[in-house]
Amino acid sequence: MPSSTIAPTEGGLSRRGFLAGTAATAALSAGLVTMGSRFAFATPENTSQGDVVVALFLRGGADGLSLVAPYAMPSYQALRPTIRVKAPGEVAAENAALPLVAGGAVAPFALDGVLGMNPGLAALHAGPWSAGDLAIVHAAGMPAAESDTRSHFDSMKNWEVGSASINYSSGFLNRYLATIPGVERIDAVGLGGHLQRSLAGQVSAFSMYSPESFNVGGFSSNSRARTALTSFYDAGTTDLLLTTGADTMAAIGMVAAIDWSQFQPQNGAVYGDSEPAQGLRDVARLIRANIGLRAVALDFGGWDTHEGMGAPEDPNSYFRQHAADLGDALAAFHQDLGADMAEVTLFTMTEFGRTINENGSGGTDHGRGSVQFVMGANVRGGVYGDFVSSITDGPEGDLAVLNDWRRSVAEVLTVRGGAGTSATIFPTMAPSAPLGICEP
Amino acid sequence: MSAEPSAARSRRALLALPVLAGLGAACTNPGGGGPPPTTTPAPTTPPGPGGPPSAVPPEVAVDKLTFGPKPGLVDAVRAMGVGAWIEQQLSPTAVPDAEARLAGYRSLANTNYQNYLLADSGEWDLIPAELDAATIIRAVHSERQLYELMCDFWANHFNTWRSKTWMGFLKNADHRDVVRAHALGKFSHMLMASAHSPAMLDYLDNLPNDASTPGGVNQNYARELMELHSLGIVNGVQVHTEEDVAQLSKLISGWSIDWEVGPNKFGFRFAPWMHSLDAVSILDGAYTRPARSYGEGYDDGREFINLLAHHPATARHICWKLCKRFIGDDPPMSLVDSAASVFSANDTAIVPTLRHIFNSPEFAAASDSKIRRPFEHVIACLRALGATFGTDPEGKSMKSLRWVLDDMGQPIFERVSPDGYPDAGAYWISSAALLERWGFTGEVARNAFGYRNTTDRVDVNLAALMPNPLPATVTELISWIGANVGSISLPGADIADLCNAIGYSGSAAASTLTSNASKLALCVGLVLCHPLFQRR
Repeated sequence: MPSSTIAPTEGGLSRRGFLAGTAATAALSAGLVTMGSRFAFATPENTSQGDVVVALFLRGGADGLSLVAPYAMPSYQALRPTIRVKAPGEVAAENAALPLVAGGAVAPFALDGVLGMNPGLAALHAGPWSAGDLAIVHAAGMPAAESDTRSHFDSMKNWEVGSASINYSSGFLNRYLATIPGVERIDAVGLGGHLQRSLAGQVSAFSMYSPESFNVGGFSSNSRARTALTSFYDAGTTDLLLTTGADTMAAIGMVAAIDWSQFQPQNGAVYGDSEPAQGLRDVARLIRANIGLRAVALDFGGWDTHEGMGAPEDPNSYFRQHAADLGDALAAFHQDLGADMAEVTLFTMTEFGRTINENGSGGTDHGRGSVQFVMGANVRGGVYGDFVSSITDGPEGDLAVLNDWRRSVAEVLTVRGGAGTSATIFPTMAPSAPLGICEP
Repeated sequence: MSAEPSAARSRRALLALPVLAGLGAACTNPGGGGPPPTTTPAPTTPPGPGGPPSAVPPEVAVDKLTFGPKPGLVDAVRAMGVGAWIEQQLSPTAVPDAEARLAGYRSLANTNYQNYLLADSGEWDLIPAELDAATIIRAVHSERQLYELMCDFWANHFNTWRSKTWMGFLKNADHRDVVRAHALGKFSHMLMASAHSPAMLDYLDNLPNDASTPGGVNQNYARELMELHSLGIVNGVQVHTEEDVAQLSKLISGWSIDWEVGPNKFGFRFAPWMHSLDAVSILDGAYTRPARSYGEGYDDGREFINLLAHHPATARHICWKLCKRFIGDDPPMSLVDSAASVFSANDTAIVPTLRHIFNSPEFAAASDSKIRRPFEHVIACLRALGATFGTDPEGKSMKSLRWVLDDMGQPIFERVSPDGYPDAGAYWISSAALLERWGFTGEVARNAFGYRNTTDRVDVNLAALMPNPLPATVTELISWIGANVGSISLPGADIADLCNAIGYSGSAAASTLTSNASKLALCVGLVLCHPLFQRR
């Protein structure tokens, strides 16, 4: 089918039109989806059209005020007697806030000196931040005018759909893929788990546990089984089960032909055993395999910290360790890809932030604004967007959402990802100028 | 523990009801050889003979109301009458269960304190293993299939994640006293039981919901009590507010666990010193209480939870979920609303609500409208193939079955978030999930699944499943396997493709396939990988 027929709307694209008669080895796209440390990916046939975009969802509502803390604000210190990130000088430097200041590779920015990273993010601070490859947007979330829900499930749906007021069944990353020329030739491969909602939709997207495991197994003759399954799962329908089966069989031919053992971490990068580390390690391998990957989504859970967050100056406290799993994984990914980070941009998502005050059980309940990270060699390091001058109860009762989370993501998808417009990706986002996070 | 439980149990239930005994025999696992089933107390009374007429095809009834067809079950349901069978399933006191197969289990009947002592004696792993194994065994072998299906439904509705804290041993009593006790009873009773369940109070952080601390209440449980357990958010419609969450958090502060040494240790306790004494107003004044004195307030929480159970939004939410379970992922709201009326008119009784749904034309027409989730697929394969497996909860059979469900993304009782495993096909359909599912099916059909160098393993005997006499041709045999093993009607083109794929001429004698065990296993495995068998 002609590529010009791709419409960035629901139902405008035949999932299967491209399979027949395509040189199957030309391109492969996977909607990378994860559960646990497993995921899936999506790719077009020409990677020169834009970066691989990686969406890392911090499931549970990550406490932005602990990841990136306004550590010196008296209001913050008063509201969080035990769980606040301490200022340098209060505790040993390695257990204190890591100030976010301009200098070196980081150009001047408006919120210079206001915020500091959790000490668990030391590797992220020493690596991507110091290299000027990390942008931070605080007080980010879904604008209250569109939805102020604090339900995990409603909010995650709103984020992954990309709108709280339009009931799309497709995810925003899938609509992004639909805007990229040539994406209809993408084939899909997945490594286990559930396809994330952000990737669901008309463009084929795949989940996988690992590249090596992406094949039919278990039968006395797996090749005969593939033949039968290919005939059972009919490409010529719109039924999700049948098309997913057909896509899977088509993609196996490509993925199974690759010797995945040749793709190992480089530049001295060492990945830990955590969920994001193992996931990003496989993302890097999929990128290196040059299969045309364009969009990846993966998850990192465990952020619903209603109790027992612990004191950040204690290296064994829960939140600090969880932050370290995140920061170490991002830093390892950044180091591993090295120069290839010029064609990769990663951003984090989380369904909401948490209450500004510490609750009676040493945790925080569901709140509103949280923090976003955007990482890439073509990201201009710094802190972007608006922030509050003191941590007080705002009109929303918590850290208000001052920055629409979609604004930075839209910039990534258009400036780096090659989308011509974000209008169909985020149709209900208020028009706004880019924050200037991305180099063209 | 032996692989099979002792047979020294009463045959009373089977002997008392010849009709049921006959049906039971028809459904008996052909390779099982287990003891005769016995009964345990279960809801309400047995139905009268005959039963109401039903427009539901027997294949649909079996697909929808069981964990999958066993050889002979569809025919037995047809012979009995679908309406009578559904009534029997709705009131299954006299239907054989699978409890005798769990005879040697040590944790299922225990209090929380007893399970703590059991765990502390070195059996931390046994307690979850027994609950998982019992869940598998009941799903495969109990003839109270609808009851077991509803237990699965409510366990997801009132999900608690067993691995969140060190007190995972609380789950076994929670599953028994909240879910199994009320699965076909009254929703209001189940909601109240859940609110008193230490497993729930631990999982959703109501244990530390202490109004006396400087930080005040913890909102986690209060939020999900309204959003997930009762009022719900249906199609974006939410009746409770953020302020209601805060108010309810106060009302149930102090609903906690008894830590005092004694038989109620790890049981429920209302702790007045943790309870907020503030005046409370929830749901726009639908519930109010004045400021309280120390020691008061527990009854207020009970009163409000009872209000929640009977709230119209709860009726709609519960019936929406039931219709999602039994009709389709996007159920007709007209049926949801009429079921909600029945639910409310019957004081939240579950059986009349289910009966209303099962009597609807939408149910009769809902053939193949749902995707089998991994647990349902694994159990359906075991049932369809008449698989035998060891019942030692920590034995190799159970280890491999629990692990494969983990691989498939649905480990038993390990859903992390409180919403339970999703009941929508889109969540479960992905390339990786299909590959895992196909791989299990291919392995189990050829006796290659899990541990093999042991007697405690999952076995199937395909030769014993084949018809006698055989049909004439391979084509006819494959059609028979689809219809009688998988309860699916394989399209002729797919049968032809399958013949080609496994290297047979469709017109060859059926005996040429049955005499080649490897090819027969390949063929049967692929039939159970057919898209139609993934649906229910």
